Amino acid sequence: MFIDLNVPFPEPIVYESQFTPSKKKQKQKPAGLTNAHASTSAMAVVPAHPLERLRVPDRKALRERVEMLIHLGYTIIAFTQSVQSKLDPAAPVNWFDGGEGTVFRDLDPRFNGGKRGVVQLRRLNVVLDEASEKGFGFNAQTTQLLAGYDILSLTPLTTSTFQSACLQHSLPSSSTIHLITAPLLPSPRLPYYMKHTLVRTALKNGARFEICYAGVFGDGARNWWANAREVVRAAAGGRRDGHEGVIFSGGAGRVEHLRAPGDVMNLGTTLGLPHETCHAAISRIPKSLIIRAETRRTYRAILSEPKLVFSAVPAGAAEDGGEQREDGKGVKGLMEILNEEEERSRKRVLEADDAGEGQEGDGEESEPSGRKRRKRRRKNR
Amino acid sequence: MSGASTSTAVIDPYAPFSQGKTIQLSSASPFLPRYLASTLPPHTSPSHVYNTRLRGKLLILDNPLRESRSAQLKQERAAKREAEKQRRVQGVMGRREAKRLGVWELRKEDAKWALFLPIHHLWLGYIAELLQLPPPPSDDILHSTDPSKHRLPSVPGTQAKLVKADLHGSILSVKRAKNADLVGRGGIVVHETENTFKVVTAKDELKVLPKRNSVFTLRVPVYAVRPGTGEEDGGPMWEFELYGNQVCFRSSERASRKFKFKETIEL
Repeated sequence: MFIDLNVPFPEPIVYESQFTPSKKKQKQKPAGLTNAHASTSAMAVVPAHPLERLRVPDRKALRERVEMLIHLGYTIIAFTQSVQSKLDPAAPVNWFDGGEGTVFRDLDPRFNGGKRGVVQLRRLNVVLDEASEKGFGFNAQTTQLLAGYDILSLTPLTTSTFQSACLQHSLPSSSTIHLITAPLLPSPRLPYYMKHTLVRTALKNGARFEICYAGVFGDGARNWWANAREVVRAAAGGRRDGHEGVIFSGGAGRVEHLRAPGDVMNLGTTLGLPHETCHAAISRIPKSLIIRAETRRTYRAILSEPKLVFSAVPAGAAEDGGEQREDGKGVKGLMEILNEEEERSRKRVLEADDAGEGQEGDGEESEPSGRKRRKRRRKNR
Repeated sequence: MSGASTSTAVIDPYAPFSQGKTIQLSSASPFLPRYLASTLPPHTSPSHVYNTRLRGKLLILDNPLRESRSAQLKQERAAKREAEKQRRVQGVMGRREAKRLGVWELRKEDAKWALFLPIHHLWLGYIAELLQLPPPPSDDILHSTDPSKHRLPSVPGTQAKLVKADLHGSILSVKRAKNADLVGRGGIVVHETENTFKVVTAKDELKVLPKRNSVFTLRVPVYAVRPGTGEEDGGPMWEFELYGNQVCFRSSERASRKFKFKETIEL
């Protein structure tokens, strides 16, 4: 299972009828881009589906990207909506509204009846600058809006916002953030020092630091290497217990910039991470992150959101209720998909064990030598 | 002020009492007000001073008498014996004795699904009362599978109440667990301990399901059960997931506990 938690979602067309205060919106958008569409669609009703709000070339490119991600072997991706400085309190917009939790329904195994595809999550990323130091709209009023996203993340650009991201916003609540992204590209140094105490608190609360590999392509590559190494040093360096603070994700706006999980792992090793940590940083750690993010939907992590069921058979009366419920239904939950994946990997391990025993025959001898080899490798490091 | 104090006689507290004078002391006529009246300068009101500052105050001149430790222990033991005696008279059983006699153990022949089904029906009534479930509507609405037709209560309120509800008599089944063998097991809860649910399954077996590292399914009816029938009438149900890791408390503790946001539901 490989996970890419950052697939930038193209900016949708802005419809006047989406908001009551229309003045504000025009200012925000670059005029040249939207004018042609906006003039034709000003009076039109806002399309219900997120894809229909995109421009046609964007839509095609996005589908191409998703198909490429499936081809590369990813199982879960998260589309990212980026917001500058703060959520607009007057008219916050969720780009994914109306998609019923996904974007390409036919490519999502939750909805397409178990065909090949990729689970598509929705992520909100808020870029924090000086203007957002006094709050950026994560409060009781916006809980409803934030509930429409699967993962929340922050990109702090100043010391004080970095501090608040690490200390306050990573605490468990209904608007917990689970990813902190450092700006890797703009300058050869990060705008703040990643202080150990702050990083440690964030990690303890369950947040992780993100490194988007798409930065290696393009102008800021030199900055990217320096800053990514700094993030790895601060969040994933040092002792063994603290080395899992980094996840890798894409952040690639173009198909050419997407890479297969294996390539991303190799990139991680060049940053100075051990190979197994790189593997975890693109599979196990983000998966645990998704489950943590799912906790936001539960009641104090005790009771989940209820599901309405209509079968008369009581759950316990059937011996294996779990399997009975699943068949005959098209829609599956995220947790069920994760569970199936886990089940599959468990089976794979069991099969591999069986095969290994059958082939080797003298399992006792081969194991110690493997252990020795591992020890030697550790020494060399 | 200074003139006044010099004119009155200097009080010597160490001087012996004037001889041949007897003073009667009683609680009805205490000594102090009279003494104050004779010693304080005249412009102060001695009765006021007495009432505001001295009345009812005690000064213990001796060290208080402390009971010896052995006497204390003896008393405690006696009290304990007395309490035990009382309990025996009333017929209440101690925890140790209950364990020795196996009160908390369910006999194998008693682990019958049919035997505990009435308890489940009682629980349905209890939960309907607790959640203030509406009475069932007409049959065609009740059996329709269209969610928009049903009148659904608010979810957060229901969850807050359900977290503190008594689960004895409910039907739980394990949905996910680290121990793969537990998945799919379930039945009527007959006993909830700090770390386990003990359930009677449909196959008439008693099973102990650990709370830690498992996720349970809990079903709650949307409408109150029709009085008299006691049976479920095939109406819609809420299906909750109960994350066992976070409810490792005794049932009584859970009822009075304040639950906070937690980090993760991961097993």
